[in-house]
Amino acid sequence: MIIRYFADIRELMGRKEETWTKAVPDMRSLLEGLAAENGSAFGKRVFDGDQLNSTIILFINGRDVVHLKGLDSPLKSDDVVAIFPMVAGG
Amino acid sequence: MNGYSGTILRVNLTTGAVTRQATDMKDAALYIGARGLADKIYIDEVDPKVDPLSPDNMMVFAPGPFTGTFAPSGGRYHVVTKGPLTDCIAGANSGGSWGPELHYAGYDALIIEGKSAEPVYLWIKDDAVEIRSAAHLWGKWVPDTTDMVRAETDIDAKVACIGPAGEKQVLFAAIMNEMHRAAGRGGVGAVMGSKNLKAIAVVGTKSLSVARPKEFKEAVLLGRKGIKEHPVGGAGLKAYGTDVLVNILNQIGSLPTNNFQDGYFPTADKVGGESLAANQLVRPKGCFSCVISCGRVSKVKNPKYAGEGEGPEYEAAWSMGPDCGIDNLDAVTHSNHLCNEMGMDPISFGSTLACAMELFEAGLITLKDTDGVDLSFGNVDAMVEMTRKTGLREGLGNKLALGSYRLANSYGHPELSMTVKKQEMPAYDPRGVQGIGLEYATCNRGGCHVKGYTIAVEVLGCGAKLDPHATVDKPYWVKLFQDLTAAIDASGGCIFGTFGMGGDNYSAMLSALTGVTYTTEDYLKAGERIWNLEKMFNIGAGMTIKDDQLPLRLTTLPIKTGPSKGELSHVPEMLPEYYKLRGWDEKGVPTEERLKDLQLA
Repeated sequence: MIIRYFADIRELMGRKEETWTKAVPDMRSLLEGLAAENGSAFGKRVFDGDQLNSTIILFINGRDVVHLKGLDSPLKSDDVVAIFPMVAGG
Repeated sequence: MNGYSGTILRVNLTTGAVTRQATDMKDAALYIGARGLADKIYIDEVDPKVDPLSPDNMMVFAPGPFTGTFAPSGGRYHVVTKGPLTDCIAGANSGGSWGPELHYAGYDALIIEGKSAEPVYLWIKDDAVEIRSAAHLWGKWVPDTTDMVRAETDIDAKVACIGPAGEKQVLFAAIMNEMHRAAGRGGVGAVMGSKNLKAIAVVGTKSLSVARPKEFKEAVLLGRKGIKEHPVGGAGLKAYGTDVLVNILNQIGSLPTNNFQDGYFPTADKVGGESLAANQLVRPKGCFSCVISCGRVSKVKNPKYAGEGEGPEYEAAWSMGPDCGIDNLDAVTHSNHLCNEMGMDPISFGSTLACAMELFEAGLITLKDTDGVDLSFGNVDAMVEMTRKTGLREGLGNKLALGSYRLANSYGHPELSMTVKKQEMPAYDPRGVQGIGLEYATCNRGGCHVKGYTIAVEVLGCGAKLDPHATVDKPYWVKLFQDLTAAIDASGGCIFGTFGMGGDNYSAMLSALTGVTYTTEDYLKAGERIWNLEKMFNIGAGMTIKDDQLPLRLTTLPIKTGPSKGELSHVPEMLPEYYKLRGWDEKGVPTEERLKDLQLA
């Protein structure tokens, strides 16, 4: 699975993307795994309690998890996950 | 008179007459100011069938009630005219400090009529108005023009001017103020050039009054707080600028690539806001009374493209980047600086070049046409060279200067122009984001995103989170955003203020400022009134339902690769509901009943 980081999440992680090889059934498990490996700052940034922080946008293969099953959205080994903060422009 | 200066300045460039008239406060209450009041003044006086580049066309420059106050990000002015690119209403607004200065000089609007026999510029210092020769300025680029005009008027003067693109009537020429801020779209700079008007310099020393100061201050502080606490308005735009959108649009597969032949560009990250912040950004910059600072002061160190300036915004980074198959941000930033210095809309330029590249790869434009330049997608040097040639109308640039519709049509393939009403669409592929396609199709000034920015709710999750691939409820959101944006434009506000403020904030500030009570519903209705007024002008100019359509490519050829592979735009299915919500008939004509309800009939 490829995980891509953008904007301040990229700065927080110190890298643009990585390949994740551990088995994770869903998005929540992936974020918890990333938080465990990368320190508390990542966990604080993406979670609000046990919910997704409202300022974080998560895509699985280009689809916002809000339109899938949220943090319960299932993941496969060949998925591409993108993690954004809420950004905008125009 | 609170929130207004009470005077409209009229300058006839044919006769040299300078006159003044009182601001019609009944119209001000109905149309607010800026875009709305300028629309009303313009449409009352000009035949919609006017040739945009003839002396019979008129221009109206107008600040809004907020402009010059400390309303958050509320320092904008609007330019209204008939656009030479689109042959319909053209309204373009800009930030910086020029609008507040005009308001401080004592004017709610500046009307420009006729055509000067020789190049001139206008020098306004409060009540003193001079038409001065610009013979020595003609041919100068925007930075030199600005510096020279300030040197011979007042070093503190705010200068709006055209560059060579406006002089040579590039159909998407912009008006630039304080060198880097642009009233960018529709060719308003070409209209200024057609009148031999090189610049307008302003110094204003008067003030604006507020109806209920304590209430206004409280409403402003509440609005500022909302923006500062919003993740986008408070931090995101300042850190990364609008160009941060490159990656998010690419990740959902809706970043138009190679003239909308695809919606995914594998190396898009190289031209995104993160790269800009790391490599070219000198500092963020805000406009008058801005609490956001999305502007990018930028510098390119690469000797090949070295220079300083501002930008690129997202749209420019896309148009001269992925839409042309290019991922070199140094070159894109350099070309963006060139567009600013020559006074040219980079969205229309980049998209027109992308169209030319497709025509070239199809063998329709040849090396003979390009003076030997390989115009294949991805050719960075060709992009930079064509930027300069277009602004100066040299070689193939003379054809690019007409925009992509006229270019593609001249080669017998108008379907390769990615335009609505002959104006190039911006950087969101409507096959992957359905609502923005309906905005493009129905926008009164042609293909445009900012007059109904549904990306906020379809992609970014600001205010709501809608499925970008779905069509349900999108007509409702498009109409709502169009009406709200029209009211914000008319107030002199920046639409980025909506990243933290809502209609209730705007209506509260406007009520306290002007003393005219606007509920949120009143505010939206003023926006709807403005939208319908513009629509009626366009109908008078000859626009029909056929002009409310996207290019056939977007409804018939699916996105080829990436996350939105297989998607098509469904504008034709959404259009009837949109018309119905607007109270228009099945052909998109406002009904008498709706016009009466809006006090337009």
